[in-house]
Amino acid sequence: MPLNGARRKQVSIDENVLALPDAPSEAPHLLGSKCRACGAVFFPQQHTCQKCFSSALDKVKLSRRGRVYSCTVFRHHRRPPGYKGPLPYLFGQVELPEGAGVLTLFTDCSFDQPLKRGTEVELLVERFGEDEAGNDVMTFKFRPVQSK
Amino acid sequence: MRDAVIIGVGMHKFGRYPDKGYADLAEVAIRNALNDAGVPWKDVQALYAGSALAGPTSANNICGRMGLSGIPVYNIEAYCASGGVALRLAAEAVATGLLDMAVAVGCEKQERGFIPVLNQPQWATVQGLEVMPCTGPALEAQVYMETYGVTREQLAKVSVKDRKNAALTPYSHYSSGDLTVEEVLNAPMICDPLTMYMMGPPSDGAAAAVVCSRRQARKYSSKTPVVIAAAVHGSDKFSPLEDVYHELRHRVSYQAYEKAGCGPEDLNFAQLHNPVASMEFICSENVGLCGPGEGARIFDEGRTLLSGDIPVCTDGGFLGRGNCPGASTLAYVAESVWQLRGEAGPRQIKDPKLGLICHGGYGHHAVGIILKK
Ligand SMILES: [Zn+2]
Repeated sequence: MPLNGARRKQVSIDENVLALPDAPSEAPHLLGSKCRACGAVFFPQQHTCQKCFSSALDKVKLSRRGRVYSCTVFRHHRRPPGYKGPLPYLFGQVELPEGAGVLTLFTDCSFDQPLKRGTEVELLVERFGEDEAGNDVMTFKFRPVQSK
Repeated sequence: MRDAVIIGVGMHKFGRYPDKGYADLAEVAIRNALNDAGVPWKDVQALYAGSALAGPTSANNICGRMGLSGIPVYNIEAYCASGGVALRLAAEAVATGLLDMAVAVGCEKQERGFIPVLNQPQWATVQGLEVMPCTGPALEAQVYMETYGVTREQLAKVSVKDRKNAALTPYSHYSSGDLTVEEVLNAPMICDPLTMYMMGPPSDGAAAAVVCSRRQARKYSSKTPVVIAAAVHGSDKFSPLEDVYHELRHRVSYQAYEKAGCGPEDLNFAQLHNPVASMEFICSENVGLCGPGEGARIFDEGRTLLSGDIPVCTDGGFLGRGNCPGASTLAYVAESVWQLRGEAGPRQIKDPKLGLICHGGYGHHAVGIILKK
């Protein structure tokens, strides 16, 4: 059992959406579905292929890098219904190499203006809040890939 | 199949009514429509009531305001397309001969601020990824403006034009048409590129239409019956990112053209879904008024003004008349009927014969309705 002061347990904001690594050496992944019949890839997971309606889908780990398809900044002072994070916030769609689009928050970038379309971004996991059991709830975001 | 026609329309003025409920609003719209049609409530054979937020049994409550006549009552939810779906079902029932006389109504009573989005995954809601009516349209606008070089000034001019139209419309949320481009651009930024005045105000309101066969129309009213030449409803399909929303609006409008035996070039006006300014351009492309990326150009040329060859959003649409989800499609129907009858007063366009209403419902629904004289 962890002693007092040990790391708090981390839980995913939704286990069907974000898979946290079991070991520190592994990377977190978003989870999607791949159709065995037509090869289409979806995020989030689907029960049925939305292209060919086959129900033979495999759960897949999605690429951790993609490109910004769209981005905007929510700047209104009024908190959207149900929203639990800080204001303002950047969000948008990331296009993954598999073809799936991910609606996501962006981080590690300026609020002055939205990210440019086509910017290469990578997945990261951040603490979002705390659940009733006192665990850290972890969510996914994307951030621009640092140029070498 | 026989023609289904509209012989009466009515509205409750859009605006903010803290002391009224959705049934109060719907009742006024239905009574105005029945008066316009000369039809007593007891002759109505079915009620189709659309609302995004009113919830279970709301159609029964509305029916109760008019009198519990025992007729079939349908409670319809399709977000902003709710009223349009109500009209489509009423038109279908009359056209197939199932009914001779029906009422379609749409109404909404809202809290101030953003429109609640229900049935979204919790992880999206708590992270602010689905906020109606701004997050999806703002992302769409960002892509659209970059792709076609459309400017914020052009968006601001749409808001100015629609406020002017609304100022000529007695049922609209805004009664002043004085808004300037600078005021739109300097208004608080909600979600880039959309400022507060590039988004329609959340409104309470209601709109209704009386739908019947031609034979019934002659019995009740001497007014010109307006024919529902097409009333198409579709839901979303899986689309690649660049086609999301566009595919559905394009599909329902072209299905409507096919059903009505016309094309976009035959239209005398178009009432388009414009909860935010950029969507007025995008929707005008989706329905074929112009090619992709040309929405801003036909606007700049003045073609979509009341004086132009294809006026768009003659009552100001969402940006001027107000964003009242359940009522908005039928508000466009009422406005279109007044235009086709020549009863639109100071905003009357020149001798229209054919018009299109294309209206989405939170990306999941769209209706394409063609009305003709
Ligand atoms: Zn498939």
